[in-house]
Amino acid sequence: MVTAKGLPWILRVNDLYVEFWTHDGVARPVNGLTLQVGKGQSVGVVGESGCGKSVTALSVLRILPKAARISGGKIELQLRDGSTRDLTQLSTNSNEMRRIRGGEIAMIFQEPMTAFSPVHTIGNQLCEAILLHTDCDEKEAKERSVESLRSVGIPEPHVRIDEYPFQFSGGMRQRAMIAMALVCNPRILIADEPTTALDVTVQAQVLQLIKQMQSQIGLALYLITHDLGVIAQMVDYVYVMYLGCIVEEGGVDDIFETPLHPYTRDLMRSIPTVSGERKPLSTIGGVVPNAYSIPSGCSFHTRCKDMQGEVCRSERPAPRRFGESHRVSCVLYEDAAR
Amino acid sequence: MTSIKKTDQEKEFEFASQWQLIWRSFRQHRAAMICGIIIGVMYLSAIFAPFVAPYDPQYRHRGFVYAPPQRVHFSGDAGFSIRPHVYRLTSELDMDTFERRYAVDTDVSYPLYFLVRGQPYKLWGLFRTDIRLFGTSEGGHVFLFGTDGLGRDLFTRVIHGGTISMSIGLVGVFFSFVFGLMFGGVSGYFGGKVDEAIQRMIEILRSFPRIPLWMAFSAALPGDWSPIRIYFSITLILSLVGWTELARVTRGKVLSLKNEDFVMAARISGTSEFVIIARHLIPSFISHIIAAITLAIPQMILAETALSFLGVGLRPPVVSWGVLLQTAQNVHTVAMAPWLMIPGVFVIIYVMAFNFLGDGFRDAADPYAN
Amino acid sequence: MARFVFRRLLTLIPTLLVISIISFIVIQLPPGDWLSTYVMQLAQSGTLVDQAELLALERRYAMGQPMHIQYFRWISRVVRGDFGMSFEYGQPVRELIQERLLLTVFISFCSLIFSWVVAFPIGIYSAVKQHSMGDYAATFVGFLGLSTPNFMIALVLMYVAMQHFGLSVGGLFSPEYVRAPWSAARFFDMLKNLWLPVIIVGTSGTATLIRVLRNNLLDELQKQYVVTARAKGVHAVRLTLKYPVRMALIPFVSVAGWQLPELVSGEMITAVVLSLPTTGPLLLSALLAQDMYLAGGFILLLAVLMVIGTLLSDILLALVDPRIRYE
Ligand SMILES: Nc1ncnc2c1ncn2[C@@H]1O[C@H](COP(=O)(O)OP(=O)(O)OP(=O)(O)O)[C@@H](O)[C@H]1O
Ligand SMILES: [Mg+2]
Repeated sequence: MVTAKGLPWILRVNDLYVEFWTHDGVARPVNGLTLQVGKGQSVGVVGESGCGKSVTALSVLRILPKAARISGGKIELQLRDGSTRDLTQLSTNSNEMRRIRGGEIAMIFQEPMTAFSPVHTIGNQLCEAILLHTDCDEKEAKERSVESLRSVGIPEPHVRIDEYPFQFSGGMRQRAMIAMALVCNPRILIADEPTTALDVTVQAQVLQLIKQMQSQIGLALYLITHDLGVIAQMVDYVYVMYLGCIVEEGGVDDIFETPLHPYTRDLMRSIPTVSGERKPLSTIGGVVPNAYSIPSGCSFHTRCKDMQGEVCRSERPAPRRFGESHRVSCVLYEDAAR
Repeated sequence: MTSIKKTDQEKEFEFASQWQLIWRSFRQHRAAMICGIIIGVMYLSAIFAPFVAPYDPQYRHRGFVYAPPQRVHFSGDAGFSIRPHVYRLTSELDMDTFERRYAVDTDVSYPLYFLVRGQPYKLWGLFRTDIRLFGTSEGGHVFLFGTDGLGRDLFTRVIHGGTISMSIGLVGVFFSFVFGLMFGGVSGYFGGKVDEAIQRMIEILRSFPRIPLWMAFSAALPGDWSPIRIYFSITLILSLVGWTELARVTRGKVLSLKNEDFVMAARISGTSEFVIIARHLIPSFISHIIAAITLAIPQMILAETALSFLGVGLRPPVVSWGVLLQTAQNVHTVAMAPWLMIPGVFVIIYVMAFNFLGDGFRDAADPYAN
Repeated sequence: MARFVFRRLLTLIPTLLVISIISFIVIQLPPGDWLSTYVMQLAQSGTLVDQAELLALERRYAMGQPMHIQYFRWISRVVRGDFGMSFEYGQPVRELIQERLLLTVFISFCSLIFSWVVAFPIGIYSAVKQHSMGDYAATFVGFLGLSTPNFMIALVLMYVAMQHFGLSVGGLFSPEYVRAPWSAARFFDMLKNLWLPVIIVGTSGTATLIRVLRNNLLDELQKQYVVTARAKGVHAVRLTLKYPVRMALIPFVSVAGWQLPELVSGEMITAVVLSLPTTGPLLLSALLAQDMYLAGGFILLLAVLMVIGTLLSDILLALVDPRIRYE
């Protein structure tokens, strides 16, 4: 099978369910989520805070917290040798899974401030990744680390490599983070809101860097964000996520020019205006329901401006195709589907 | 990231429920709840000590020196009975070792009754009465924890000792609290040089080994002082060194109150300052202080016990757990009369209960922590 | 690092000053001046008091002069290593104190090591296996150790050793070595008797350390950098040891620093129960007999040792935490 854009797929998440067992009950942040990433493709996942974007990413790497478990679905990964693995079948700490983490799929996080251990040098943490995934010795690993720091634009990398994270600025740290993620030549990079915690100017630089690295090594990008501006700039295919499922997906032009789902349309209203003023995503009325009590039927019905009545409350709408790669799950388009 | 605009009503609800949040989170700490109840029972029995104890704490039972604890039986020859009883203790003097040997005479049993008339006493120095919580029928003795080297009932003395020991915890913590609030508050509020000086003072006090310092101060108390004077001096001495932790907590809280994010947030969103202070800051402040106090009380008791045990704390005829343990100072006495360690068990239970309770309070004080 | 140590050394000066003042206050605490007490004691025991000697003593200790002069007299002699005379023993305080103080420090140090060795694995286990039976057991035993006065542990252990193993414990040396001069044999004999005091003194500290380590480790395990390391493919066990445990070591070390005074306090009480030839029993009897130069000397030196201990632990802290070093 190929992705909507005609690329062969490399990562395919199929009908994924994740549960958290906590004191307060069972939270279900991911409910039947399906998405794909093509080889070298840039895919964006967008949605409000708390709708399960990070949890999905962590499930793919099988690094969910202890309280969580994958309760259904498949996560298929195409390995370098062409074979396919269902990651949900591997045990979290198995050798194979650990080889995939960092080796096949790398991830960078939102908080560059806390994402490094404060008491180990940057070099130590970079080399660790290299030593794990290659058979370099320590000296070569260090050379490669310096090289990778240089490639993400850190000045004097041979000095900075022996410094501690608190001696780096936020933007520098995020660069180092990217260097660390890419140092073992993964084929997929998951970036979980990589720029949210940064200054606006630094944001642009970091995004630029990610894009540049991506085109250099032909990496697939799985970008998670709140920011539709970032989506427009960075990716070519968009998944719109609400309460753990994809409500709409399509090429970036489809989504921006003809948003179909009421949720997507609400999101669109929060795009920065010409004056540069940015409104928060929450101009959508009401609050995201929490993951402990996902509404029945179409989970957006509690906030939907186009609620159609009982069907929305009781039936979960199936995805319908519009055009080549545009899909939406909403009863509004039940009949219009082509 | 996304700031969610809340209606005023929602805001109101959140502020109002701060105490409820704390309470809810505390209740999840089952161990802390149970310990709270244990502490409650212990303080009740301390308040009503003369009533709960079957005898007078100084009364010497002739012929019952180092009598072992008696077991309470529910069943005898006549089979099971609801009414508990104890058997008669007989003793004889071993002429070789001059030790008293005790034997249980199962032929004679004394039933135990609730609310019996015993030795008269004055409750809280006010009411003269002779009703005791429990006791035996005429002619019998009940020594639940045995007797000491002078034939005094240990159970009675443990209960009375609890009154002194447990009140030292409270009074001492009260003193520490006053010092701690004063120094911590000043330190946090004024900052700068004052803060620096107070912090250094605390650091020095903390680096002193406490026991020798306490020992030195208590040993200097004149021997002819009245017990009540000694009592207050000892508590004061304990809190002179013990206030530092409370000062630390107070200072930290005051500092954070001065520039707390949520104060700013609330200000920006237009909530009045009074509402912020009343609804949010005070509960958070008080709950932290309560937690710190709860954890400071057992320190006091342990200190008092240690000092009295060493003979430089409270002195007989005052009865405290530490004073009682002083009789168990050498291992040969303990080997002969192991029950003399029972007051120590009470110290452990009390201290442990307070530690668990304090832990529960501390966790609950931060309802947003998790 | 050198700058850090230097700055830290500077802060010692006011600390030492205050400590010496507190010790001086302790010496002055008992009512009346000790010289008259001394004379009275001598008179009671029938010894004739030599007037010349009395005058010399009076001059030496600046009796009758204002307090601050007395203090300076005293402190200038202390700095030169002269802590005055013990009236109880008629010996220089220094001779009496030296060995006992060293033994106290040695026992406290061993207890510290003991509590680290015990607390470290238990703390890690407790945090990693949170809510397991082992965790609950460790927490309970920890609280129990925390709540039990040292002397109770001492008495119970002695009792058990006596009743069940027929051992007679107490003291630090076997009879034949009690008065012997120091030798390798005497040292090994001491090591044989050391375990009991070390366990007793170490217990309450161990409980605190377990709790500190467990709570901090639980915090650290939630941190983002753990997720980062997992995302790199580091093995779970290796990861836990390299990152969160390493981080939790920082509060662990700083707690151990301010635990030193508690350890020494605990050692003193334990020493009284076990009648060890260390600081506790002699300080206690000195205080009770109002032999104040002896008591004051003990207190001063103990406090100074504690300050040195805290200094060492601060340096250790700077070694394990680069953020302090580069501050
Ligand atoms: N450790 C956890 N324990 C319990 N529930 C959790 C945990 N982590 C996540 N969840 C649940 O999963 C839901 C989704 O969380 P997730 O972090 O994936 O959201 P997100 O879309 O990444 O939001 P954000 O944009 O704020 O990062 C949360 O609302 C919460 O209910
Ligand atoms: Mg997230």
